[in-house]
Amino acid sequence: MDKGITRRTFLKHSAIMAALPFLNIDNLQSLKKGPPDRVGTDMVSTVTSVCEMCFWRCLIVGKVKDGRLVKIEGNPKSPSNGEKVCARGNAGIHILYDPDRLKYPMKRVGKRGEGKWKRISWNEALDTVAEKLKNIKNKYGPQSLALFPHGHSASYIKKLFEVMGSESICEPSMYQCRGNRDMAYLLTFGDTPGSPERVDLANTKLMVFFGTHLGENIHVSQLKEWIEGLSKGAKLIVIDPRFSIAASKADMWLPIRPGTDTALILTWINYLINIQGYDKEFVSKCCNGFEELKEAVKHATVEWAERITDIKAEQIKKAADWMAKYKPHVVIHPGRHSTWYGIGDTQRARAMAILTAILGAYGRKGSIFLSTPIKIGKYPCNIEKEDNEEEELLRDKWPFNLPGTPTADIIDATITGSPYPIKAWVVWGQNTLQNTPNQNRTIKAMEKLEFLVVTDILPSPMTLYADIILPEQTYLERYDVILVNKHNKTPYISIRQPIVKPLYEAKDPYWITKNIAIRMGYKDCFPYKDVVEVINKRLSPLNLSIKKINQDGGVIIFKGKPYYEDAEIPEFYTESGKVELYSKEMEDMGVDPIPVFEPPQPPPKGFVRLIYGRSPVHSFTRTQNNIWLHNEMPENELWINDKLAQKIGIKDGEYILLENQDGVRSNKPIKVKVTPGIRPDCVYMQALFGSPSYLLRCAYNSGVSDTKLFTKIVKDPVVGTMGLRVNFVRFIKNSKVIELPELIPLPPELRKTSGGKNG
Amino acid sequence: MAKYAMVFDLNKCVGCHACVIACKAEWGLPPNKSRCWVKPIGPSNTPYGLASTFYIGLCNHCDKPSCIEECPTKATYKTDEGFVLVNKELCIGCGNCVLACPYGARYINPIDKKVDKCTFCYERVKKGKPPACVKTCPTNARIFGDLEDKSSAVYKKVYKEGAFPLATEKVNLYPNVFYIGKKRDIYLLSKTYAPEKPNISLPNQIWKLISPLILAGGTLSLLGVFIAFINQLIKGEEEEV
Repeated sequence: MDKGITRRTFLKHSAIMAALPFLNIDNLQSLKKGPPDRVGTDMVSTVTSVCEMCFWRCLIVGKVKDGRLVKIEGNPKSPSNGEKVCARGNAGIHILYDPDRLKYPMKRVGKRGEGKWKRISWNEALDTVAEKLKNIKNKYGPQSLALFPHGHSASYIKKLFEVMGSESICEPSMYQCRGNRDMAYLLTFGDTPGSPERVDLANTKLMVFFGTHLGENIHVSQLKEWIEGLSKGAKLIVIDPRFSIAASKADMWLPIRPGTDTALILTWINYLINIQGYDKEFVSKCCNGFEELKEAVKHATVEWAERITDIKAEQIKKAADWMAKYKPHVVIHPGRHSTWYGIGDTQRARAMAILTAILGAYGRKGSIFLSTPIKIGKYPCNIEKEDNEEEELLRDKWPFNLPGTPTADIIDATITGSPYPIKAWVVWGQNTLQNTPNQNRTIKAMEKLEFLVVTDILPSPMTLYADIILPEQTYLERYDVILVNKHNKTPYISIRQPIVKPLYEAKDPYWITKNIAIRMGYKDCFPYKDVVEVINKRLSPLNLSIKKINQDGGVIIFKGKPYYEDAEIPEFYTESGKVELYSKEMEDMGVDPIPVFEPPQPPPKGFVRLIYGRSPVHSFTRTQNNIWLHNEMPENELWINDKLAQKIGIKDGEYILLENQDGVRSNKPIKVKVTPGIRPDCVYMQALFGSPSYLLRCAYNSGVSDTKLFTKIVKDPVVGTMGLRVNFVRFIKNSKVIELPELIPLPPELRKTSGGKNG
Repeated sequence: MAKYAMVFDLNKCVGCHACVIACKAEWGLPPNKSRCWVKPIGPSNTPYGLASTFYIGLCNHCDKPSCIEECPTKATYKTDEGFVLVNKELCIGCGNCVLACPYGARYINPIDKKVDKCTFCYERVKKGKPPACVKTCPTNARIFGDLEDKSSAVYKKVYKEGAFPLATEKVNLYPNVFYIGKKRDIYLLSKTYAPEKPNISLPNQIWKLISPLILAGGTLSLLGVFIAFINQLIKGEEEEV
């Protein structure tokens, strides 16, 4: 019944662990035993807070018994998740009590990558970090310091980088996730779709998902609304090469040929215009460039789309007929992780935004709803941003800029020293090795660095290369920032606060950053005693404080205005003040003002495309070492189409090795799942398993790493994000290479590809 | 008298595992053991089209539980309200009931060496609270309540909407856990996880024969431990899976 960590692997891992000087052996006992015996979790004290097992940030209540966190539940006062939390939220306890945690500052004594360190004091650690960063900045300029941030904990270090004038900030949430989508919606509607995405799933009549693995990515409030909407009878169309959980609940599953979504969307736009199935009032009142759009999509006939996308013409039409019927109560879900094929990623999201606009599905009930601004005080920083001395920054080569600089560009510059040297990396809770394609290239860059400091909770793969490690408190032990959720129909403010006393010598992100900043001469950017003072200061314009929030049960609720009034002519924060169906801004920057379909590179002969998605029990690599979550899914599987499997003689449950187009092999064999629920021109696995950090006893080499097989990099020509579905694999069984036959022939126009502008 | 039951709405379940983890936290279970489970099924072809769903399960709190019959010490018992519970004081960890359950809902807790299973959160329910798994379920796919209460959601699902238990003609212990969903999902679930007649191993059969003598004598309890040990050795591999 239980998928346990097997005894053998456990012993093997503990043997490695025991050899390490910083490991507390007593903790092995707690791993075996789990939390202390007790009966239920009723007779305990409670503290409200904000989850950070993922970026959705549900409101939680921590139940504490004898100073120990015994259970995490949803905060019943929360207008989003209510008393619900997902598996990860429930399992937060095991990040707090993870025996592998980084316990005190350390400095490297072995080679980079070896993971050999010596314990040092906080003073020594902070002195070293500040001195190194300061010297490198003075010698090479502010751009030579690169930051790899993740999550709320990196908010303050980002502030410091901003003040120092460094734009070398690599946000994975932008460049490896949703930057292209955000820019596309910003250019169209003057606003991003928000995080959480502002989709009114509970009240919609039709949902359209491109990929968008709801049910596999568990974002509680969205999940609740999705199922509520379906229960109320909303229709669901899922466009995905794979029969996802969402597809299993759909009224229509369109197993699209990978990489051809834009062709389908342009066709839908053309079809809706032709049948007069668009929202004429919204288009004439609120949109710019309809005639140009009409002209530009004329070529996109249903027959063309059928050939390109491998979806039957009748289904393409039926889906569009539903859109026409249910508009404007339609959610074209903007998706989230959308850096898929590099080439055309921003334009695909633009096409989705345009489809949304012509259906009038914006600011209406059951569509994309509006955010409600809540103004807390600005971060109290008393110094101005320093000027950049460099004439041209790496980021300037992209037509449109997301915050920071594309990760791939920073890594390249670190290796080549061009156009300017990058000599120090500050990695704050991010696993660049596993979130960025081409691990060897990332390692090569790290080996070139003069200085690498990593702040984290666990010995992630990045810590293995660090010169200095700064141990951070988990979200259950600290204050950090104010949570302002303006992207909920009922908006609210909440705060993360310590549920239990911090363990070991771990510190909160404000304390760590402040103490580095003071040593570097940026004291005025951190003028407050501690993070509590910062939070109270920023809450004061609303007459709020931490105390007041706690008195109100951990959340302050505001009145939302999610929909436009009927007679209202909304204003959009675009150049023209209207929804840009045709984008003059894009044209001015030399980018197609209306999306044009550009096919991604097709699989080489004998290979299929590797696609990936989320596991409901994991948030990227951050939760892979959580013993509860690990036990629920200790390894990932490779989905292979049943006909393809039959043709090459692969059986369900077998283990095979993967080899990509550059000859890189998987970290170990992966278990095969043979299913009719995937197209034969791609294979699928859950992402981010197979951690290369041998210091993570559950995560290390558990399952197969998809990112290890990502060696090719294709960048989106508009914003420089990295497509992650551009690598191909074939199989190796019993040391023999298995070439994969092409079961669905590609139309000739998809064989040609521009390959994308590679920056 | 109340008769508690649980209904799983497969249309709402997304297989997120929140239930499993909430249960572990609530009852402080060993990290590698669970009282409930989520197992993905499919995507597979069915006569009703391509389908994928989940086998979400826990102790079925059966009306005719095979585990009670197999328990030599009467540690396993059923309350008037239908909860099947284990008196840990009486449990000798022989594992008979573990084998007797066609759903695999029981395990020997490696810490106290006694059997453990879902209690329908007896203690919480007695205080008027929902089971921990029900409380956390993000989509309300788990519905808990009293089958005797005609206004309850479980009553409606079972008697009006046709929620059905995971049982066959051959193996029917009259479970109090029910499933409802699309035809194709139900087809897949029933086909993949139909309960099979439990296969009670030889040492357990011997144990069953001689246990009345032991209980009468009350002095040979060590033998039980010995047999339990042998039994563990025989089925040890299986336990790890």
